[in-house]
Amino acid sequence: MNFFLAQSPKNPYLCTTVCTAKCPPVGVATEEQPKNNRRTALPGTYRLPRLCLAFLLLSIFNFQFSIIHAQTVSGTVTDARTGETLIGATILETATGRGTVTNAHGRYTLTPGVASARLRISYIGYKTQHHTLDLASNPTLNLRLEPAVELDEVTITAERVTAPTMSQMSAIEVPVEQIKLVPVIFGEADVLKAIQLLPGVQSGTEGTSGIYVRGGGPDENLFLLDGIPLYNVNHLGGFFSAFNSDAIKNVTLYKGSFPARFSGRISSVLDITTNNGNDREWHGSASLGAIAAKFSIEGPLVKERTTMSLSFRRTYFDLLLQPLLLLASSESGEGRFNGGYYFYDLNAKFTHRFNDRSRLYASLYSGDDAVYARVRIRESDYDGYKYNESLNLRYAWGNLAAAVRWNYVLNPQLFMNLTGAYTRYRNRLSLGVELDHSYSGVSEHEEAEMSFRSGIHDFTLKADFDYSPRPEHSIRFGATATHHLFRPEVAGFKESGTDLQTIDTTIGESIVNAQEFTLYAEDDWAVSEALKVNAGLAATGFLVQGSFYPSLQPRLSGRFMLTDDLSLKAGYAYMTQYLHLLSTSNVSLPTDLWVPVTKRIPPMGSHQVAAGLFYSRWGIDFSVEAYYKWMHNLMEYLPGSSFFGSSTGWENKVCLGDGRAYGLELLAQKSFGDITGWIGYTLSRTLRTFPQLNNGREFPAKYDRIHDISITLQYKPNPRFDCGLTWVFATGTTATLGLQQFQGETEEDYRPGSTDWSTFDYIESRNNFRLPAYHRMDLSVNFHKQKKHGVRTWNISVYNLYNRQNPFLVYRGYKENSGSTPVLKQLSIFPIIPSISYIYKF
Amino acid sequence: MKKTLSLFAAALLLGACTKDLDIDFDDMEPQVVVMSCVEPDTTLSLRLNYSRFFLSSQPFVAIDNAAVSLSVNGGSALAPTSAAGGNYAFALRPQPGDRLDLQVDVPGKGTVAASTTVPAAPQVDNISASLTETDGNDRTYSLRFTLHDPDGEGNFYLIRCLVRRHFVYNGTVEFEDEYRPFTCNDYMLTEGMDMGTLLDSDNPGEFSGRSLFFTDANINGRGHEVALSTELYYNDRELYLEITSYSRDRYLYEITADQYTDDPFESLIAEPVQVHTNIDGGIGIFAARTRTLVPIPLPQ
Repeated sequence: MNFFLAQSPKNPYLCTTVCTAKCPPVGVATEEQPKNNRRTALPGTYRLPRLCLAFLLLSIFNFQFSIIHAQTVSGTVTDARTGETLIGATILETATGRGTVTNAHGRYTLTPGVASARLRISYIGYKTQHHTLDLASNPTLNLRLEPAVELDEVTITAERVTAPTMSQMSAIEVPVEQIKLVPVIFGEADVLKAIQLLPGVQSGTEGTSGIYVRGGGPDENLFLLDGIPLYNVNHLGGFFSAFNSDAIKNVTLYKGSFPARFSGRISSVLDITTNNGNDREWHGSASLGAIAAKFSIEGPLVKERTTMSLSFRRTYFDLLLQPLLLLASSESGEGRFNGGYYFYDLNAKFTHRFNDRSRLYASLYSGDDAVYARVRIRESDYDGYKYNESLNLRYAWGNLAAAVRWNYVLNPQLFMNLTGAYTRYRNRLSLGVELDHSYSGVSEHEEAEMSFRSGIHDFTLKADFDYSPRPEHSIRFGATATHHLFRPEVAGFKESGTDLQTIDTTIGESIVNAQEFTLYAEDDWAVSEALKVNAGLAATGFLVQGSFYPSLQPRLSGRFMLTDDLSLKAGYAYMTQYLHLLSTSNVSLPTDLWVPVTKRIPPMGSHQVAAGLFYSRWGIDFSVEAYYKWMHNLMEYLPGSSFFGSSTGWENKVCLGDGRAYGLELLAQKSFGDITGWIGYTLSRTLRTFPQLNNGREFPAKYDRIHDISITLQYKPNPRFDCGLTWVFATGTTATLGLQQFQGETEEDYRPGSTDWSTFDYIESRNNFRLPAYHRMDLSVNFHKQKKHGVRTWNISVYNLYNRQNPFLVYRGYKENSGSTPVLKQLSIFPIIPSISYIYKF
Repeated sequence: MKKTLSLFAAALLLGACTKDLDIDFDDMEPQVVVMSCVEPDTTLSLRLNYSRFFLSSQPFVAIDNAAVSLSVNGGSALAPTSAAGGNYAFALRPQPGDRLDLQVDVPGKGTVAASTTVPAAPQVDNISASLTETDGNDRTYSLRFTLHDPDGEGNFYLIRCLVRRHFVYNGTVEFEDEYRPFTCNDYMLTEGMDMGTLLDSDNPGEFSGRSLFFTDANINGRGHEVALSTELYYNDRELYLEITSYSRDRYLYEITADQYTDDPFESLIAEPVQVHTNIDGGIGIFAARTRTLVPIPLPQ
């Protein structure tokens, strides 16, 4: 697998001079770095909004004088074979060295400052094109790039944007084709599992999809699917993510130095773009894996004008289970039982191109998990008495996200994207009982149903603009308004029957409405050939229960080219988060609830500074990044608290505190050739301080992994065969263990005449025990063969190749076959797991 | 060969669930544990023993050879009058307001120390009871009383209902005491109490249980009328209102001990609880409480 440090694909704000290897220096240093981790003592931070504002005003003033003379070329870059827009393609004016990259919609705008431009357009895996054109009329140049049949390593490495030249730091773009090559459990390609292999990203417990970015919690990551936030990104308790890799075109992870257009979470942004669909021919694929079957199809509804893309994935072991359950229940003769578990994902997207300036997108994501069971009991006797009982259980949870977007080119320098979206996460439990009995011609019927449901609904309107007035400036600005509707917990009860009074009632219908607003502006300014600065400001506000929480979030980052191959980058970002996730500490459950800030629970916030060196040589990108992050108003659960089964009075069960995280990330990455891959290493600490926990003393966070190493290699000697190998190592996570025991008398023990004392574990400090180190190796092999109507692929994967028993949790148990000898036991859930999948693409 | 490989694969799969962890815990030396609940007008005693390694099944070992000294309000050190089986007693009956400083020297373990101040007795008046519901021999009583919280630093309380049951056995009347569950819907108290105690309550703000721990956060320095409700059954003859005032350390110890669980399932889904201790250099609790027991006249 290869991935690329984000070359402004999703960050056209970087555009104008993003440039290629020939484009020299850039860089910047943060003006102010906060002095300590108390939010009340951040003088530098509060000066930053003014600095950013001044920067923006200066930028605007600067380009006012020459805007009239700007001569601009703009257009869209697409794949010549499929018509799919290409994100991050490079457009370079060779004489001046000025260039840009395409944005998330495949659009580019370049104002090179010359009357006649010689353009070179390149994109990894595609043949480079050269065009010469007169810019006097602000021409539109739509480009269709031909895929390169065989990758020419020399050519591509020479023309690609290398890590040192890119201005964005702490961002990584992961090509989807590479994600599919990462060996994973059950052979099911998974975006989040691949993301977990990147430096600065920690995984949770074995098998889970939760990600912990630079010391942040799993609820502090913003998951955007085509720009729309998804709340629950897990299936099967976190073993799989909600993102079907067949539907995805592009994935970019931001770990820090967040551009101003992103806000709402304090630790990371995972920006995922789905396929638009082939605008020339119909294509598709079908696959059958160890646990899931997938099908996808894409093509033109109206050739080169209207396209659709549809992907569907569903697990099927519940279907296989049904005959066995029926057989078992018929043999027992005591009734019939069926039940199971499944999840599915549906991604659908329609795109219509009105003309070169106007496009409309409609997208839909629906993904659910469900557990169901039905028991039917029938009895009768010789007296004619008949009795039927039916018990139904269903527990379902999942996301629905729908969006309509309209892209419009207002003029060659100004691009607009309007979005209207709805997203929902909900879970619902229902348990129903039906009874029918008849005797001597008299029948009676009774039924009752209990239900529990909770959820969050978001209605969003967004307007985003890209403005490229001058060669040195690329400006983005926009606004977002979101109406949140929280339904934390609602219970319902229905009862009816022959001799029963009908009841239909709802308990706890407590809807909380909240409004969230965002305004942002950012400018990517090439100050000189060596120095490039991106400054922005996001102003957000959250209105809930009559309280308004405003926040000004300055963002500043820059790059300075030290040599042609070496650059220094630095960045600062402040982020605010208005939502909290109530969940158990150890596992991801559907009972996890999103709740808003309240009068008692203020928003979370984080400041992050980062700096790094980036170097490229021998076709390998090297990077070293250091970061320091401090967070406030983090939420933890009070000792003894749990949210299992109920969220009632949740504010009473939590406490607030601060956190800090710091670390060093090393990455060496080779993206081209027969052998590709990377080695990543992270040295980090993540610490928390809560007045109500650990006697107010600082303690390590649960996922404080000090060392984290990942090695990922792919080998692709020919089109018929490829294989991948991954090895990961991480310091064990922390756990709280009482290593000593003592006896004590409590009021509970105090009864007249009682001499019993309780035995307690003495916990010296929270998270005082470190689990054994985590490591494993995975292998994946693909055999491809060209068939008459397409290409078939056999995939063989082995997860945990050497059967490492990694700890899921530890607990005190008793030694086997030794009676009552206490021993510390470790539970591991995934041994060596081989799997095989069949894929057919047509 | 295929058979061998199959057996190997099966063995790997079966063996991959749980295993015993072999971790070097050699540096886990036992620590000195001090347990003492200081009460006014009661002979002061304390118990000393060693903690044990959490994977040990050996009994706790008492400390008989400790040098223990106690001073009251900064006065001269007192020595225990008896020491046997790890139990040390002093010829001392502390009074509310007394400050006690304890020092324990254990050979090979060094010195551990702790301090506490005996809290004042809780002041209650205006006590009344009314019968609100009768179901056969079961009766529900509503109790009302005023708790007077002294002004100043935080005070910590426990309210319980003590029921005395009467039995006739072989012609003689015998007694059995029991703490009876009760409900109290008083947000002024429950908001100030430790929130962990509310975990089992379906209605936030309403307490239901045997022990209502709370602080004076919302009633500091004033009288506050408390209302609660409890049930009495067939043999229940006497009802007492028990109000306990704690030193801060004792209160924290009680509520953390109350939240503590060693249930493996609960441990998975709940945050771990650190039982509060206040022994400098050791483990345990040396802290004080003062009880007030008020008989409740029961209307029939």
